[in-house]
Amino acid sequence: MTEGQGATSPATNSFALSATLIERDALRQTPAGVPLLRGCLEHFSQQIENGAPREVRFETDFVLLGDLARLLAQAPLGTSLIAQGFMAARSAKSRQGVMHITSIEFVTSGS
Amino acid sequence: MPQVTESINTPLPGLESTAANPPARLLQVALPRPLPALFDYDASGLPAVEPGQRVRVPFGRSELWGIAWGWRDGSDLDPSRIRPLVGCDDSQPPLPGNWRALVEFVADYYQQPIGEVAAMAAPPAISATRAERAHRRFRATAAGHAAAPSLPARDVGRKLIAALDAAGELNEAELRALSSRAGPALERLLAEGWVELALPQAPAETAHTLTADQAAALEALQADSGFAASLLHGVTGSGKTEVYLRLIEDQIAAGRQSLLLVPEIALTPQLHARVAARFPRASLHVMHSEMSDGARAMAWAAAQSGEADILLGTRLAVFAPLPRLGCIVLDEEHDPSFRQTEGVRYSARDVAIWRARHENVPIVLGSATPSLESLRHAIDGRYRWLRLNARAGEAKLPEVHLVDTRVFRATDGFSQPMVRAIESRLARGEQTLLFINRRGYAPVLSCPACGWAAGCTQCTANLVLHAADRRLRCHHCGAEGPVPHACPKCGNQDIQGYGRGTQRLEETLASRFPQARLLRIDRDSVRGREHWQEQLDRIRRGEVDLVVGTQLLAKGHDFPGITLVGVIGADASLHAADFRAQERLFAQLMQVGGRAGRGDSAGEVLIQTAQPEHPLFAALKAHDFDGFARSQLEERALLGLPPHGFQLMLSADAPELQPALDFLEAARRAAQALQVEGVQVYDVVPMRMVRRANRERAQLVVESRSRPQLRALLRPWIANLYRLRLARGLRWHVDVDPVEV
Repeated sequence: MTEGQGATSPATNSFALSATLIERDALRQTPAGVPLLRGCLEHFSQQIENGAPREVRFETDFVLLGDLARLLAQAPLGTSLIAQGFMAARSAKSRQGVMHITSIEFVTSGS
Repeated sequence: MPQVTESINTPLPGLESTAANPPARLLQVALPRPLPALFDYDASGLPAVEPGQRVRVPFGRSELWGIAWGWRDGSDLDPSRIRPLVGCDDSQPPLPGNWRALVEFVADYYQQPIGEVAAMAAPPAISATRAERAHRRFRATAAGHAAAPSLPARDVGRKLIAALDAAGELNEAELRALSSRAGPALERLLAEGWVELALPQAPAETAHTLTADQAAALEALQADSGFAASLLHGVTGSGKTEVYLRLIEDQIAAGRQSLLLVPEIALTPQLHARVAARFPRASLHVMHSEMSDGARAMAWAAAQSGEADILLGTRLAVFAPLPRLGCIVLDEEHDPSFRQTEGVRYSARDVAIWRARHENVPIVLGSATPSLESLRHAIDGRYRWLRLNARAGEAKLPEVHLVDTRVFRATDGFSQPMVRAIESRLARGEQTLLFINRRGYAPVLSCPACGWAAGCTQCTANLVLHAADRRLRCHHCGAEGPVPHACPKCGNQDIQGYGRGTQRLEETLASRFPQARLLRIDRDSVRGREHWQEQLDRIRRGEVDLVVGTQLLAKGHDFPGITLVGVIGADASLHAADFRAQERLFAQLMQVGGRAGRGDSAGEVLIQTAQPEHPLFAALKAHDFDGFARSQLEERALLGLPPHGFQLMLSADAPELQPALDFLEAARRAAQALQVEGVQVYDVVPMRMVRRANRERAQLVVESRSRPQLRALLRPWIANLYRLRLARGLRWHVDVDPVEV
C-alpha cells in the first residue's frame, strides 16, 4: 500500500517488541484464502524513563498474515519472540491499536 | 424465434399480387416485435397457408418468422404496401384456434405485444420427430420372435429383433447405431407389431386409501362436468397429490388429457416419478424451460397430437395445446414462480383459469397456504373450497416453537436451544433440516478497517461472498469476479463476510457437529436435475443427518426422516416493504415447517426470532392459516390492496434514471388525462433497487378498488404510451396484477 503521506516526509509507524505468545485464535483464512492468525502478546522489560529505570508490562493483540501466520499457529503458548510490525486500529468502529506483525524472530528460551 | 432452415414452402411463381389491386388473400401475422399489433401480408402466393402456421415474412429490410393468425377482409394499409409472404413452415401442424385464443387473452389482459406473447407461447421452432424418437425404448414382441427366423438372414429387421432379444430393451439411438437403415426397419417392425414401445415395467403404485377429507374432496371434484374452479386447501402432508392422481385416473379412463402444472422445475422429477409409477401405461410428458428445444418440441408434439395423456410442466406448459383436455391441476397455486416477471408478464395461474373456462374443463388449485387472491374467491364462493384438514396416515402436524434470540443469543447463527434440539435429533438418529433463505457464504463482503463493501458495479446491490470457490457474485445481474486479495480502498487483507448464507451455516455445522453427515442444498450445490434427484434420494434414504437448504427444499418434498426443521434468519422478511412480504413469509414457513414429521415420528419446527410476539408467529404456532389470512385480508380491505383492490405497475428503465422518470411522468399525465373515476395514479418513484444490470429503473403504480375501472383505463392508456417518444435506450413494461410492487 502507500508508503507514507508524501514524498518528503514518509510517516513512521514501526514497532519492535520482545514478547511472549499468550493467546492465539485458530488459524483462519481471509476470503481470498490467505492464512490469518490473531492473538495476544505479552511484553515484559526494563526501560529507562526520564533517566530512571522502570518495569514495563503490557499486552497487545496482534494480527499476522501469510506464511508467518501458519508458522506461529504451530508455536506453543509461552513461546518467546521478537516481533516487528506496525500498529493499526482494530476496526473502523474501535480506534484501539492492534499490532500487525510483519516479521518474527523466535528467541530460544533461557537467553 | 430460433432460426429454422427446414422445409419452407415458397410462393408459386406468377401469383404475387400486383401493387394496384388489394391482395385476394390478406393474412394477419403475429411477429415478435414490441408492438401491440398484427401485421398484414399478402398470402395469395401460398394457397395452402392456414392460421396457426409459422410463416416467413419480409419485415423492413430483413425477414422474420411469425405465426399466421387469421384472414382479413380489408387492410388499413395502402395495398401497395402489403407485401407477400416469403414462405411457410408446414413441417409442424398449425397451432390450433384454442391456442391463439389463449395468446389473444394474454395479450389483451396483460397488455403485452401479441407477437411477443405468441413467440413465447409457441413451441420451439424445430421439428419434433427426431427428438421425440431418440427417447423411445423398444422391445420385441412374441410375434416378433416368431417372425424373425423367417426373415432373410441379412434383413435389418431381423438384426434389430435379435439385438432386442439380447438386450431386452433398447432405445432408438441404440438401434440406429446397429444399422444405417435401422429407422425405416423399425417403422416396419412397429407396423407389423413385431416390436413395441417398452413402457415402464414397474407395477403400478397402488392407490392409497383416502381419508374422509380426501374422499369428500374427490367426490365433489368428480361431479364436475365443464368449467368449475376449486381450491384444494390442504395442510402440508394431507395428501393433495393423491387427490390429483385420482382425478387424473378418471381422465385417463375417460380418454381425456390432464394438464398438471407445478411452480418449479425442481418439483417436476418427484411428481413425475409418482405419476409415472401410478400410471405406467399412460403417456406422460414433461415440459419446462430448462429442457432442450428438442425435448420440449417432443413434449409439445405429444400434447398437441393428443398422444400425451398427462402433461406435467411449469408455467410455460399452460400454453401447450391439448385437444382432449379433461382437467387442469395447478399445484402450489400460491407460488410466485407462476408469475413471469421478465419479458411477457403474465400469471400462469390466472391464465390457466381462463383456459379452463374457455375450454370448459374443471381446474383444481392446490395449496396448503393459498394466495389471498384465491382464498378470497373461495370465500366469495367463486371457487369451490375443498379442505383437507388432517395429515394423511398417522402423521400429525409438527409443533412450532420459537427461540427468542434476545434471550438466547445466537453465535454463528445458532442459539443454544437450536443447538440442543439438533443434538437430540442426532442422538436419536433422526434428520434435521436447517432453513435459511439465502445462498452463498455471506451477503456482504466488507472491510472492517475502513467500511468498504463489495458492491456490484452494475446494480444497486452488494455482491455475495461465495466461499467455496472464492468468488463474489451479484444475485441480481449474475456478474461475478474473484474475491479481492485485499480491500481495494485501504489495502487491509482481513476483509470479512458479514451476515450468513447456506455455505456459512454449513461450515458452522461442520465444526460444531463434526460427526454428523452434512448436506447443503441450494441453487449452487445442485448441478443439474439428475444430481438434484440424487441429493433428494440421499436425504430420503437417511444418508445425511443435517440438511442446510433454501426454499428449494421447502416445497412439496416428502422426507419421512426429518423430525426437526430449524429456521434461521426469518426476521428479515418480517419488515420488508412489499405488502405481500408477510403473506409470503407465512406461506414459506408453513411450507418448510411442513417438511417436519411426515413420517412416523412427531415433528418440531424451531424458529429463531427477535420478535416472538409478532402475530405471524402466533398464527404459525397454532397452524392457524385461516386466522392469519383473515387478518391479512382485513388489512388489505382497509387499504384497498389486492385482492381487495387491483394494481397496474408501469416500469421504465434506461442507462440513466432521468429519462425513465421523465417517461413515467409523461405516462402519469396521460393516465390522469383519461379521467377514469375511482382510479388512483401514484407518484413516479425510483425502484428500491434503482440500478440493475447497468440500467436505472423507476416505477409508477396505478390502483383501483374496481377491476372494470382499472381496465377502462388500461387499454387506452397503454395505446397512448406507444405514441410517446422514447429517449434513447429507454424500455418500458406494464405489469397487470403485479406480484411485487
